[in-house]
Amino acid sequence: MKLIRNNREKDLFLQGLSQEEWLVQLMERYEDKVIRLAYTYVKDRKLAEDLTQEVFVKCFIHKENFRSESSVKTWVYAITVNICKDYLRSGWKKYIHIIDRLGKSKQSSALTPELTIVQKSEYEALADEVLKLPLKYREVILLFYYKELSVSEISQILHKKEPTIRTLLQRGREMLRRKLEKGR
Amino acid sequence: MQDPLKQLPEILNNGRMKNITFKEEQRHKVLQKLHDCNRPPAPKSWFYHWFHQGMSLALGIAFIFLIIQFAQGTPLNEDQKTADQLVKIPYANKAILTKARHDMRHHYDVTAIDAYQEGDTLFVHIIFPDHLNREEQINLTKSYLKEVSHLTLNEPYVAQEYLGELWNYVNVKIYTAGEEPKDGMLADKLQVDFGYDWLGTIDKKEGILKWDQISD
Repeated sequence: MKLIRNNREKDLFLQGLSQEEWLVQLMERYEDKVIRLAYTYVKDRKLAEDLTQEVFVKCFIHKENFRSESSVKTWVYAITVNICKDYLRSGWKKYIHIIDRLGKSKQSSALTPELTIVQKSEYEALADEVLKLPLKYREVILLFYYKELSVSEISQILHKKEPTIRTLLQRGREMLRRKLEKGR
Repeated sequence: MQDPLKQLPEILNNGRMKNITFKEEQRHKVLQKLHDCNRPPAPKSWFYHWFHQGMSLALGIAFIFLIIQFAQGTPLNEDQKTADQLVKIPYANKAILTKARHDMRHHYDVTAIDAYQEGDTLFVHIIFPDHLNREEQINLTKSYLKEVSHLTLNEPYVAQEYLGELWNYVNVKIYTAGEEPKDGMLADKLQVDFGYDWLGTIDKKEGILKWDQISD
């Protein structure tokens, strides 16, 4: 099944599509996955939208760099992760982001009672705690459980060895368990 | 018990990620960005050309100016330095030398006297005719040096109104006229029968030449 999916992904590069058609197809297949992955890094919808645009532009520009050893999905995710991390590292953007968030925090403080109930649900608490994890654990947990990638694929995306990924997963899970227990 | 983390896709996609989607508008923006990337650059305005060319010209001129300044500032080579020093024999020294040279030629039958100044050292080359023996050559040289010293004494530096820097040291070389000169400077042209150097110091206030024979 996975083999069929991989072949279908690589078909994207083999089909005689025009440049624009190729990009449109790539966006159709991965846009929501990419924007949601970007959101897990920056935790801001507007920013995630901007970064996703950047991801697809970069995919288009570096189309020739795609090597068929990895799947298209891994390639697109790797670009997304790199762009998000670059953003988080950049001091100026960080500053803008903080200013932006300060403005938004006032608006988002008025939660509806329904939303409060939903947020307080156990599942939502889990999601909250996952998103609050330090970046190095968060990204591994999310890529593994949320994006359902294998350890090998995560190691390709993050350029880390597989044992390192396993260790980070283990520590992330531990950290999460402790936090959830404390919250009860 | 089931690992709650396995529910994460469901939790996030139905929860806070539900409304996080890439809209049509965003897709258009991506395509627009690519069109902008592929668009050939717009032709530059005349002002851009004028400004660009003006700046290039100004930079070029500044660069040439800097090169000229640098070339003028570089130290001269040794030959050029020597030539400059040779022509800068002060007026007072020239007068003394001319007088001494004149006297030596007329009274002692000296073949040639050449002198030049480098810094504060006066170099004198005296060429004696080959019929004079060594003793006579030495005596004549001494008398020449005395004359230079004497003239200096008669015309003290202050009295000359500082017309030029007097020498502090005199260096004398003696040659005997012999074969035809082949090439080079005067000193090199003549066969050296024997040579010795005198290194003397003139006290400017007293005008006394103190000199020592440093080789024979």
